[in-house]
Amino acid sequence: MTGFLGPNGSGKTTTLRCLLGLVKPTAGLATIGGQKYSALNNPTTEVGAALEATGFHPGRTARNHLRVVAAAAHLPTKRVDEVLELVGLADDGGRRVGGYSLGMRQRLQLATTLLGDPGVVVLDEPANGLDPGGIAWLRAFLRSLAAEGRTVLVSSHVLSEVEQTVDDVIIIAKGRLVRACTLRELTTSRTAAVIVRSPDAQRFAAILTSEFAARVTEVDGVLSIEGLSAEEIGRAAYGHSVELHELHDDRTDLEQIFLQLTDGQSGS
Amino acid sequence: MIGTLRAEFLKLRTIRTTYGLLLGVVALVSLQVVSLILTAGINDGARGLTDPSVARSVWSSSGSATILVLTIGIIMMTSEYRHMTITSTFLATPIRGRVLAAKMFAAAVAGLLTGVLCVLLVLGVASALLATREHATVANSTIVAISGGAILAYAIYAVLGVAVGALIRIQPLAVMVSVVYVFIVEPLIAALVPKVGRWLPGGATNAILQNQGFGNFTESDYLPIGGAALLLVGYGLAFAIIASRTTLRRDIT
Repeated sequence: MTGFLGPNGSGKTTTLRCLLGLVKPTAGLATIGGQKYSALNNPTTEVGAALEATGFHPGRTARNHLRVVAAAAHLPTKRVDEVLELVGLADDGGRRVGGYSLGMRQRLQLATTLLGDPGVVVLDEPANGLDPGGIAWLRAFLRSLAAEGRTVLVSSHVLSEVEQTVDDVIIIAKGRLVRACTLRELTTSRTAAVIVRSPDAQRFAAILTSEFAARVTEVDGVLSIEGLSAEEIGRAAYGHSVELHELHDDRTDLEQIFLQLTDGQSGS
Repeated sequence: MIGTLRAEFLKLRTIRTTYGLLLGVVALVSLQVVSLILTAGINDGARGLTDPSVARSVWSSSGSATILVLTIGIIMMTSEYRHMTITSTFLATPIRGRVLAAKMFAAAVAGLLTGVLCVLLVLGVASALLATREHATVANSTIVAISGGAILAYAIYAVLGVAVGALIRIQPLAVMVSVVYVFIVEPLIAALVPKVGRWLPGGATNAILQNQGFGNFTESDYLPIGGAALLLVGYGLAFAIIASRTTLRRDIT
Protein backbone atom coordinates (compact mmCIF):
# COMPACT_ATOMS: atom_id res chain seq x y z
CA MET A 1 0.00 0.00 0.00
CA THR A 2 1.41 3.32 -1.06
CA GLY A 3 0.38 6.71 0.22
CA PHE A 4 0.42 9.45 -2.37
CA LEU A 5 0.81 12.65 -0.43
CA GLY A 6 0.96 16.33 -1.07
CA PRO A 7 -0.73 19.53 -0.02
CA ASN A 8 -3.94 20.68 -1.68
CA GLY A 9 -3.27 21.75 -5.24
CA SER A 10 0.04 19.91 -5.50
CA GLY A 11 -1.15 17.79 -8.43
CA LYS A 12 -2.22 14.52 -6.83
CA THR A 13 -5.60 14.25 -8.54
CA THR A 14 -4.18 15.38 -11.87
CA THR A 15 -1.45 12.73 -11.63
CA LEU A 16 -4.03 10.04 -10.88
CA ARG A 17 -6.21 11.25 -13.75
CA CYS A 18 -3.22 10.98 -16.08
CA LEU A 19 -2.63 7.46 -14.78
CA LEU A 20 -6.24 6.54 -15.54
CA GLY A 21 -6.31 8.04 -19.02
CA LEU A 22 -8.77 10.80 -18.15
CA VAL A 23 -6.25 13.59 -18.60
CA LYS A 24 -3.65 13.66 -21.33
CA PRO A 25 -0.21 14.49 -19.91
CA THR A 26 1.66 17.26 -21.74
CA ALA A 27 4.65 14.96 -21.76
CA GLY A 28 5.47 11.50 -20.53
CA LEU A 29 3.61 8.27 -20.04
CA ALA A 30 1.67 6.73 -17.17
CA THR A 31 1.30 2.97 -17.02
CA ILE A 32 -0.23 0.37 -14.73
CA GLY A 33 1.65 -2.93 -14.76
CA GLY A 34 3.50 -1.64 -17.81
CA GLN A 35 0.35 -0.87 -19.78
CA LYS A 36 -1.50 2.32 -20.51
CA TYR A 37 -4.91 2.34 -18.84
CA SER A 38 -6.67 2.69 -22.18
CA ALA A 39 -4.86 -0.41 -23.45
CA LEU A 40 -6.29 -2.60 -20.69
CA ASN A 41 -8.74 -5.12 -22.06
CA ASN A 42 -11.36 -4.83 -19.33
CA PRO A 43 -10.00 -2.18 -16.95
CA THR A 44 -12.70 -2.63 -14.30
CA THR A 45 -11.36 -6.11 -13.54
CA GLU A 46 -7.75 -4.95 -13.33
CA VAL A 47 -7.84 -1.49 -11.79
CA GLY A 48 -10.46 -0.20 -9.40
CA ALA A 49 -10.37 3.57 -9.22
CA ALA A 50 -12.26 6.07 -7.13
CA LEU A 51 -11.52 9.66 -7.99
CA GLU A 52 -12.55 12.83 -6.27
CA ALA A 53 -15.44 14.53 -8.02
CA THR A 54 -16.60 11.32 -9.60
CA GLY A 55 -20.30 11.68 -9.56
CA PHE A 56 -23.46 9.71 -9.29
CA HIS A 57 -26.72 10.54 -10.99
CA PRO A 58 -28.83 11.72 -8.05
CA GLY A 59 -31.94 10.07 -9.43
CA ARG A 60 -30.36 6.66 -9.86
CA THR A 61 -30.25 4.14 -7.03
CA ALA A 62 -26.89 2.93 -5.74
CA ARG A 63 -27.68 -0.56 -6.93
CA ASN A 64 -28.51 0.67 -10.43
CA HIS A 65 -25.34 2.76 -10.52
CA LEU A 66 -23.36 -0.40 -9.80
CA ARG A 67 -25.40 -2.39 -12.31
CA VAL A 68 -24.42 0.10 -15.03
CA VAL A 69 -20.72 -0.29 -14.25
CA ALA A 70 -21.10 -4.07 -13.97
CA ALA A 71 -22.83 -4.21 -17.36
CA ALA A 72 -20.05 -2.22 -19.02
CA ALA A 73 -17.47 -4.63 -17.57
CA HIS A 74 -19.42 -7.82 -18.34
CA LEU A 75 -19.81 -8.63 -14.65
CA PRO A 76 -22.76 -10.57 -13.20
CA THR A 77 -25.41 -8.63 -11.26
CA LYS A 78 -24.83 -10.77 -8.18
CA ARG A 79 -21.45 -9.06 -7.85
CA VAL A 80 -23.36 -5.80 -7.32
CA ASP A 81 -25.05 -7.16 -4.20
CA GLU A 82 -21.74 -8.60 -2.97
CA VAL A 83 -19.94 -5.24 -3.05
CA LEU A 84 -22.91 -3.42 -1.51
CA GLU A 85 -22.69 -5.93 1.35
CA LEU A 86 -18.93 -5.44 1.55
CA VAL A 87 -19.13 -1.69 2.15
CA GLY A 88 -22.15 -1.91 4.41
CA LEU A 89 -24.71 -0.46 2.00
CA ALA A 90 -26.77 -3.62 1.50
CA ASP A 91 -29.86 -2.08 3.11
CA ASP A 92 -29.58 1.25 1.27
CA GLY A 93 -28.80 -0.05 -2.22
CA GLY A 94 -32.34 0.58 -3.41
CA ARG A 95 -32.30 4.24 -2.41
CA ARG A 96 -31.56 7.07 -4.83
CA VAL A 97 -28.04 8.39 -4.42
CA GLY A 98 -29.40 11.95 -4.22
CA GLY A 99 -30.44 11.15 -0.65
CA TYR A 100 -27.05 9.75 0.35
CA SER A 101 -24.74 11.34 2.90
CA LEU A 102 -21.15 12.12 1.94
CA GLY A 103 -19.96 9.09 3.88
CA MET A 104 -22.39 6.83 2.05
CA ARG A 105 -21.20 8.21 -1.29
CA GLN A 106 -17.60 7.43 -0.34
CA ARG A 107 -18.66 3.88 0.49
CA LEU A 108 -20.47 3.61 -2.82
CA GLN A 109 -17.29 4.81 -4.54
CA LEU A 110 -15.35 2.05 -2.82
CA ALA A 111 -18.00 -0.49 -3.80
CA THR A 112 -17.63 0.64 -7.42
CA THR A 113 -13.85 0.17 -7.33
CA LEU A 114 -14.20 -3.37 -6.00
CA LEU A 115 -16.85 -4.46 -8.48
CA GLY A 116 -14.36 -6.12 -10.83
CA ASP A 117 -12.28 -7.62 -7.98
CA PRO A 118 -9.20 -5.74 -9.28
CA GLY A 119 -5.61 -6.39 -8.23
CA VAL A 120 -4.88 -2.68 -8.24
CA VAL A 121 -6.93 -0.12 -6.34
CA VAL A 122 -6.48 3.63 -6.81
CA LEU A 123 -8.22 5.86 -4.29
CA ASP A 124 -8.19 9.65 -4.38
CA GLU A 125 -8.75 11.23 -0.97
CA PRO A 126 -11.12 8.48 0.21
CA ALA A 127 -11.22 9.94 3.71
CA ASN A 128 -12.58 13.32 2.61
CA GLY A 129 -15.83 14.12 4.33
CA LEU A 130 -15.79 11.06 6.56
CA ASP A 131 -16.53 11.37 10.26
CA PRO A 132 -14.06 9.80 12.76
CA GLY A 133 -16.05 6.58 12.75
CA GLY A 134 -15.97 6.51 8.98
CA ILE A 135 -12.21 7.11 8.92
CA ALA A 136 -11.64 4.23 11.36
CA TRP A 137 -13.82 2.03 9.15
CA LEU A 138 -11.89 3.16 6.05
CA ARG A 139 -8.55 2.32 7.68
CA ALA A 140 -9.66 -1.19 8.53
CA PHE A 141 -11.09 -1.54 5.06
CA LEU A 142 -7.85 -0.42 3.36
CA ARG A 143 -5.86 -2.84 5.52
CA SER A 144 -8.15 -5.69 4.51
CA LEU A 145 -7.64 -4.77 0.84
CA ALA A 146 -3.87 -4.89 1.23
CA ALA A 147 -4.11 -8.11 3.25
CA GLU A 148 -5.94 -9.67 0.31
CA GLY A 149 -2.81 -9.02 -1.72
CA ARG A 150 -4.06 -6.01 -3.65
CA THR A 151 -1.83 -3.12 -4.62
CA VAL A 152 -3.36 0.02 -3.18
CA LEU A 153 -2.46 3.59 -4.12
CA VAL A 154 -4.19 6.05 -1.85
CA SER A 155 -3.83 9.81 -2.06
CA SER A 156 -4.26 12.21 0.81
CA HIS A 157 -3.32 15.71 1.85
CA VAL A 158 -3.20 14.64 5.49
CA LEU A 159 -0.29 12.34 6.30
CA SER A 160 -1.75 11.19 9.61
CA GLU A 161 -4.75 9.85 7.73
CA VAL A 162 -2.68 7.21 5.99
CA GLU A 163 0.32 6.93 8.28
CA GLN A 164 -1.13 3.94 10.10
CA THR A 165 -1.92 2.03 6.95
CA VAL A 166 0.67 2.62 4.24
CA ASP A 167 3.99 0.87 3.62
CA ASP A 168 5.45 3.31 1.12
CA VAL A 169 5.01 7.01 0.64
CA ILE A 170 5.31 9.26 -2.37
CA ILE A 171 5.31 12.93 -1.56
CA ILE A 172 4.80 15.64 -4.13
CA ALA A 173 4.59 19.41 -3.93
CA LYS A 174 3.87 21.96 -6.64
CA GLY A 175 3.69 19.18 -9.21
CA ARG A 176 7.17 17.82 -8.43
CA LEU A 177 8.28 14.66 -6.68
CA VAL A 178 9.76 15.48 -3.28
CA ARG A 179 10.31 12.06 -1.80
CA ALA A 180 9.58 8.43 -2.62
CA CYS A 181 10.54 5.93 0.07
CA THR A 182 9.18 3.52 2.64
CA LEU A 183 7.29 4.97 5.58
CA ARG A 184 10.02 3.60 7.87
CA GLU A 185 12.73 5.45 5.96
CA LEU A 186 10.73 8.62 6.23
CA THR A 187 10.31 8.31 9.98
CA THR A 188 13.88 7.23 10.80
CA SER A 189 15.63 9.59 8.42
CA ARG A 190 14.84 12.53 10.61
CA THR A 191 15.38 10.94 14.06
CA ALA A 192 17.14 13.88 15.53
CA ALA A 193 17.99 12.87 19.04
CA VAL A 194 17.40 10.58 21.99
CA ILE A 195 15.68 12.01 25.03
CA VAL A 196 16.79 10.98 28.49
CA ARG A 197 15.33 12.02 31.84
CA SER A 198 17.42 11.36 34.87
CA PRO A 199 17.84 12.71 38.46
CA ASP A 200 21.57 12.46 37.67
CA ALA A 201 21.31 14.41 34.42
CA GLN A 202 24.35 16.63 34.73
CA ARG A 203 26.76 13.84 35.68
CA PHE A 204 25.41 11.66 32.85
CA ALA A 205 25.75 14.54 30.38
CA ALA A 206 29.39 14.92 31.31
CA ILE A 207 30.02 11.19 30.89
CA LEU A 208 28.36 11.12 27.46
CA THR A 209 30.27 14.16 26.23
CA SER A 210 33.67 13.11 27.45
CA GLU A 211 33.59 9.33 26.91
CA PHE A 212 31.28 8.98 23.89
CA ALA A 213 31.75 12.32 22.14
CA ALA A 214 28.01 12.87 22.02
CA ARG A 215 26.40 16.29 21.65
CA VAL A 216 24.22 16.84 24.67
CA THR A 217 21.92 19.63 25.69
CA GLU A 218 20.30 19.70 29.09
CA VAL A 219 17.13 21.42 30.14
CA ASP A 220 15.69 20.85 33.64
CA GLY A 221 17.05 17.33 34.01
CA VAL A 222 16.04 16.28 30.52
CA LEU A 223 18.87 15.49 28.10
CA SER A 224 18.64 15.68 24.36
CA ILE A 225 21.46 13.54 22.97
CA GLU A 226 22.71 13.48 19.39
CA GLY A 227 25.24 11.08 17.92
CA LEU A 228 24.29 8.01 19.94
CA SER A 229 21.52 5.45 19.60
CA ALA A 230 19.07 4.74 22.40
CA GLU A 231 20.74 1.33 22.87
CA GLU A 232 24.21 2.84 23.30
CA ILE A 233 22.91 5.40 25.76
CA GLY A 234 21.11 2.73 27.79
CA ARG A 235 24.27 0.65 27.94
CA ALA A 236 26.30 3.68 29.05
CA ALA A 237 23.80 4.47 31.80
CA TYR A 238 23.88 0.86 32.99
CA GLY A 239 27.70 0.82 32.97
CA HIS A 240 27.93 4.03 34.98
CA SER A 241 25.04 3.20 37.31
CA VAL A 242 23.03 6.24 36.23
CA GLU A 243 19.40 6.14 37.24
CA LEU A 244 17.11 6.72 34.25
CA HIS A 245 13.46 7.69 34.36
CA GLU A 246 12.94 7.98 30.64
CA LEU A 247 14.75 6.97 27.47
CA HIS A 248 13.24 7.35 24.02
CA ASP A 249 13.90 8.37 20.42
CA ASP A 250 12.88 11.91 19.70
CA ARG A 251 11.11 11.10 16.46
CA THR A 252 10.26 14.22 14.58
CA ASP A 253 6.54 14.28 14.17
CA LEU A 254 5.65 12.82 10.75
CA GLU A 255 3.37 15.72 10.07
CA GLN A 256 6.32 18.03 10.62
CA ILE A 257 8.51 16.07 8.20
CA PHE A 258 5.73 16.30 5.70
CA LEU A 259 5.43 20.04 6.14
CA GLN A 260 9.20 20.54 5.90
CA LEU A 261 9.43 18.46 2.75
CA THR A 262 6.58 20.14 1.00
CA ASP A 263 7.35 23.69 2.11
CA GLY A 264 11.05 23.49 1.34
CA GLN A 265 10.13 22.89 -2.25
CA SER A 266 9.90 26.55 -3.12
CA GLY A 267 13.47 27.15 -1.95
CA SER A 268 15.13 24.27 -3.75
CA MET B 1 -18.97 -3.08 -27.18
CA ILE B 2 -21.90 -5.26 -26.07
CA GLY B 3 -21.16 -4.41 -22.44
CA THR B 4 -20.91 -0.69 -23.15
CA LEU B 5 -24.19 -0.86 -25.05
CA ARG B 6 -25.94 -2.73 -22.24
CA ALA B 7 -24.67 -0.13 -19.80
CA GLU B 8 -26.13 2.65 -21.96
CA PHE B 9 -29.56 1.00 -22.10
CA LEU B 10 -29.45 0.53 -18.33
CA LYS B 11 -28.57 4.19 -17.82
CA LEU B 12 -31.58 5.22 -19.87
CA ARG B 13 -33.90 2.86 -18.04
CA THR B 14 -32.79 3.74 -14.53
CA ILE B 15 -33.54 7.46 -14.43
CA ARG B 16 -36.95 9.11 -14.26
CA THR B 17 -36.07 11.81 -16.78
CA THR B 18 -36.40 9.27 -19.59
CA TYR B 19 -39.94 8.36 -18.59
CA GLY B 20 -40.85 12.01 -18.03
CA LEU B 21 -39.75 12.90 -21.53
CA LEU B 22 -41.55 9.88 -22.97
CA LEU B 23 -44.72 11.05 -21.25
CA GLY B 24 -44.10 14.49 -22.77
CA VAL B 25 -43.79 12.95 -26.23
CA VAL B 26 -47.08 11.08 -25.82
CA ALA B 27 -48.83 14.23 -24.56
CA LEU B 28 -47.47 16.41 -27.36
CA VAL B 29 -48.36 13.94 -30.11
CA SER B 30 -51.87 13.37 -28.65
CA LEU B 31 -52.45 17.10 -28.45
CA GLN B 32 -51.22 17.61 -32.00
CA VAL B 33 -53.37 14.93 -33.61
CA VAL B 34 -56.52 15.77 -31.65
CA SER B 35 -56.28 19.53 -32.14
CA LEU B 36 -55.47 19.12 -35.83
CA ILE B 37 -58.56 17.02 -36.47
CA LEU B 38 -60.87 19.11 -34.30
CA THR B 39 -59.77 22.52 -35.58
CA ALA B 40 -59.08 21.81 -39.26
CA GLY B 41 -61.09 24.18 -41.45
CA ILE B 42 -62.65 25.86 -38.46
CA ASN B 43 -61.67 29.34 -39.69
CA ASP B 44 -63.21 30.81 -42.79
CA GLY B 45 -61.13 30.08 -45.81
CA ALA B 46 -58.85 27.62 -44.03
CA ARG B 47 -58.40 24.25 -45.62
CA GLY B 48 -60.31 21.47 -43.89
CA LEU B 49 -59.84 17.74 -43.61
CA THR B 50 -61.24 17.34 -47.11
CA ASP B 51 -57.98 18.84 -48.37
CA PRO B 52 -55.58 15.95 -49.12
CA SER B 53 -52.53 17.70 -47.68
CA VAL B 54 -54.34 18.51 -44.41
CA ALA B 55 -55.62 14.95 -44.17
CA ARG B 56 -52.05 13.76 -44.71
CA SER B 57 -50.66 15.99 -41.99
CA VAL B 58 -53.02 14.30 -39.50
CA TRP B 59 -50.85 11.21 -39.91
CA SER B 60 -47.67 13.29 -39.74
CA SER B 61 -48.64 14.17 -36.16
CA SER B 62 -46.85 11.02 -34.98
CA GLY B 63 -43.59 12.78 -35.82
CA SER B 64 -44.38 16.10 -34.14
CA ALA B 65 -42.34 15.57 -30.97
CA THR B 66 -38.88 15.52 -32.54
CA ILE B 67 -37.68 18.27 -30.20
CA LEU B 68 -38.39 16.10 -27.14
CA VAL B 69 -36.70 13.08 -28.71
CA LEU B 70 -33.73 15.32 -29.48
CA THR B 71 -33.73 16.29 -25.81
CA ILE B 72 -33.58 12.63 -24.74
CA GLY B 73 -30.40 12.29 -26.78
CA ILE B 74 -28.96 15.53 -25.41
CA ILE B 75 -29.61 14.39 -21.85
CA MET B 76 -28.05 10.98 -22.46
CA MET B 77 -24.76 12.73 -23.16
CA THR B 78 -24.85 15.91 -21.10
CA SER B 79 -26.09 14.35 -17.85
CA GLU B 80 -22.80 12.40 -17.79
CA TYR B 81 -20.92 15.70 -17.62
CA ARG B 82 -23.47 17.39 -15.41
CA HIS B 83 -23.33 14.72 -12.71
CA MET B 84 -19.72 13.77 -13.44
CA THR B 85 -20.67 10.17 -14.14
CA ILE B 86 -18.52 10.53 -17.26
CA THR B 87 -15.53 9.63 -15.06
CA SER B 88 -16.86 6.18 -14.20
CA THR B 89 -18.10 5.75 -17.77
CA PHE B 90 -14.66 6.41 -19.25
CA LEU B 91 -12.99 4.35 -16.51
CA ALA B 92 -15.11 1.34 -17.49
CA THR B 93 -14.72 2.04 -21.22
CA PRO B 94 -11.53 4.05 -21.81
CA ILE B 95 -12.02 4.04 -25.58
CA ARG B 96 -14.17 7.15 -25.77
CA GLY B 97 -15.34 6.70 -29.32
CA ARG B 98 -16.86 3.41 -28.24
CA VAL B 99 -18.89 5.18 -25.55
CA LEU B 100 -20.17 7.71 -28.08
CA ALA B 101 -21.04 4.96 -30.57
CA ALA B 102 -22.86 2.96 -27.87
CA LYS B 103 -24.81 6.04 -26.81
CA MET B 104 -25.81 6.79 -30.39
CA PHE B 105 -26.92 3.23 -30.94
CA ALA B 106 -28.91 3.16 -27.69
CA ALA B 107 -30.42 6.54 -28.63
CA ALA B 108 -31.42 5.21 -32.05
CA VAL B 109 -33.18 2.25 -30.47
CA ALA B 110 -34.87 4.48 -27.89
CA GLY B 111 -35.99 6.86 -30.65
CA LEU B 112 -37.24 3.96 -32.72
CA LEU B 113 -39.33 2.57 -29.86
CA THR B 114 -40.70 6.04 -29.11
CA GLY B 115 -41.58 6.38 -32.77
CA VAL B 116 -43.44 3.06 -32.82
CA LEU B 117 -45.38 4.11 -29.73
CA CYS B 118 -46.36 7.45 -31.34
CA VAL B 119 -47.35 5.84 -34.61
CA LEU B 120 -49.64 3.39 -32.79
CA LEU B 121 -51.05 6.25 -30.75
CA VAL B 122 -51.84 8.35 -33.82
CA LEU B 123 -53.24 5.36 -35.70
CA GLY B 124 -55.65 4.72 -32.82
CA VAL B 125 -56.68 8.32 -32.13
CA ALA B 126 -56.89 9.44 -35.77
CA SER B 127 -58.86 6.39 -36.91
CA ALA B 128 -61.37 6.92 -34.11
CA LEU B 129 -61.78 10.67 -34.63
CA LEU B 130 -61.72 10.67 -38.44
CA ALA B 131 -64.50 8.06 -38.55
CA THR B 132 -67.00 10.72 -37.51
CA ARG B 133 -65.81 13.39 -39.92
CA GLU B 134 -65.74 14.08 -43.58
CA HIS B 135 -62.16 13.84 -44.80
CA ALA B 136 -60.01 13.24 -47.84
CA THR B 137 -58.85 9.66 -48.11
CA VAL B 138 -55.16 9.07 -47.64
CA ALA B 139 -53.80 5.97 -49.30
CA ASN B 140 -52.69 3.23 -46.91
CA SER B 141 -49.28 3.18 -48.57
CA THR B 142 -48.91 6.90 -47.79
CA ILE B 143 -49.86 6.35 -44.14
CA VAL B 144 -47.28 3.57 -43.93
CA ALA B 145 -44.63 5.80 -45.53
CA ILE B 146 -45.38 8.72 -43.19
CA SER B 147 -45.43 6.44 -40.13
CA GLY B 148 -42.17 4.82 -41.14
CA GLY B 149 -40.78 8.30 -41.68
CA ALA B 150 -41.81 9.36 -38.18
CA ILE B 151 -40.10 6.33 -36.63
CA LEU B 152 -36.96 6.99 -38.66
CA ALA B 153 -37.02 10.69 -37.79
CA TYR B 154 -37.22 9.91 -34.06
CA ALA B 155 -34.35 7.44 -34.26
CA ILE B 156 -32.20 10.01 -36.07
CA TYR B 157 -33.18 12.91 -33.80
CA ALA B 158 -32.23 10.91 -30.71
CA VAL B 159 -28.85 10.21 -32.32
CA LEU B 160 -28.52 13.89 -33.28
CA GLY B 161 -29.26 14.76 -29.64
CA VAL B 162 -26.35 12.63 -28.42
CA ALA B 163 -24.05 14.31 -30.94
CA VAL B 164 -25.28 17.80 -29.97
CA GLY B 165 -24.76 16.89 -26.30
CA ALA B 166 -21.22 15.73 -27.05
CA LEU B 167 -20.50 19.05 -28.76
CA ILE B 168 -22.24 21.27 -26.20
CA ARG B 169 -21.54 19.56 -22.91
CA ILE B 170 -23.43 22.02 -20.71
CA GLN B 171 -26.92 20.55 -20.46
CA PRO B 172 -29.08 23.70 -20.15
CA LEU B 173 -27.10 25.37 -22.92
CA ALA B 174 -27.43 22.38 -25.24
CA VAL B 175 -31.21 22.19 -24.69
CA MET B 176 -31.63 25.94 -25.07
CA VAL B 177 -29.60 26.10 -28.28
CA SER B 178 -31.65 23.23 -29.74
CA VAL B 179 -34.97 24.79 -28.81
CA VAL B 180 -33.99 28.18 -30.20
CA TYR B 181 -32.73 26.55 -33.36
CA VAL B 182 -35.77 24.32 -33.91
CA PHE B 183 -38.41 26.92 -33.08
CA ILE B 184 -36.84 30.16 -34.27
CA VAL B 185 -33.77 29.84 -36.46
CA GLU B 186 -34.88 26.99 -38.68
CA PRO B 187 -38.45 28.25 -39.37
CA LEU B 188 -37.00 31.67 -40.14
CA ILE B 189 -34.53 30.28 -42.65
CA ALA B 190 -37.24 28.04 -44.12
CA ALA B 191 -39.56 31.01 -44.58
CA LEU B 192 -36.96 33.39 -45.98
CA VAL B 193 -34.77 31.08 -48.06
CA PRO B 194 -36.63 27.80 -48.75
CA LYS B 195 -33.78 26.68 -51.00
CA VAL B 196 -31.53 26.51 -47.94
CA GLY B 197 -34.30 25.48 -45.58
CA ARG B 198 -34.97 22.20 -47.27
CA TRP B 199 -31.40 21.10 -46.63
CA LEU B 200 -31.73 21.70 -42.87
CA PRO B 201 -32.65 18.88 -40.46
CA GLY B 202 -36.15 20.34 -40.02
CA GLY B 203 -36.68 20.58 -43.77
CA ALA B 204 -35.53 17.00 -44.24
CA THR B 205 -37.78 15.82 -41.40
CA ASN B 206 -40.84 17.50 -42.87
CA ALA B 207 -39.98 15.95 -46.21
CA ILE B 208 -40.03 12.41 -44.81
CA LEU B 209 -43.13 13.17 -42.76
CA GLN B 210 -44.74 14.58 -45.95
CA ASN B 211 -45.84 17.45 -43.79
CA GLN B 212 -47.09 20.83 -44.95
CA GLY B 213 -46.60 23.91 -42.89
CA PHE B 214 -42.83 24.22 -42.74
CA GLY B 215 -42.15 27.78 -43.75
CA ASN B 216 -44.19 28.46 -46.89
CA PHE B 217 -43.14 25.15 -48.34
CA THR B 218 -45.13 23.46 -51.00
CA GLU B 219 -44.57 19.84 -51.88
CA SER B 220 -42.11 20.66 -54.60
CA ASP B 221 -39.88 22.58 -52.18
CA TYR B 222 -39.00 19.43 -50.24
CA LEU B 223 -36.21 17.01 -50.94
CA PRO B 224 -37.24 13.53 -52.08
CA ILE B 225 -38.06 11.27 -49.10
CA GLY B 226 -35.10 8.91 -49.51
CA GLY B 227 -32.64 11.75 -49.98
CA ALA B 228 -34.03 13.58 -46.95
CA ALA B 229 -33.62 10.46 -44.78
CA LEU B 230 -30.03 10.06 -45.95
CA LEU B 231 -29.38 13.74 -45.25
CA LEU B 232 -30.63 13.35 -41.66
CA VAL B 233 -28.39 10.34 -41.10
CA GLY B 234 -25.54 12.39 -42.55
CA TYR B 235 -26.16 15.21 -40.05
CA GLY B 236 -26.00 12.73 -37.16
CA LEU B 237 -22.76 11.19 -38.41
CA ALA B 238 -21.17 14.57 -39.15
CA PHE B 239 -21.95 15.88 -35.64
CA ALA B 240 -20.65 12.68 -34.08
CA ILE B 241 -17.40 12.81 -36.04
CA ILE B 242 -16.83 16.46 -35.16
CA ALA B 243 -17.55 15.72 -31.48
CA SER B 244 -15.24 12.70 -31.35
CA ARG B 245 -12.45 14.77 -32.90
CA THR B 246 -12.92 17.71 -30.55
CA THR B 247 -14.96 17.84 -27.34
CA LEU B 248 -14.83 14.11 -26.64
CA ARG B 249 -11.03 14.22 -26.43
CA ARG B 250 -10.97 16.87 -23.76
CA ASP B 251 -9.53 16.13 -20.35
CA ILE B 252 -11.98 14.95 -17.73
CA THR B 253 -11.26 16.97 -14.62
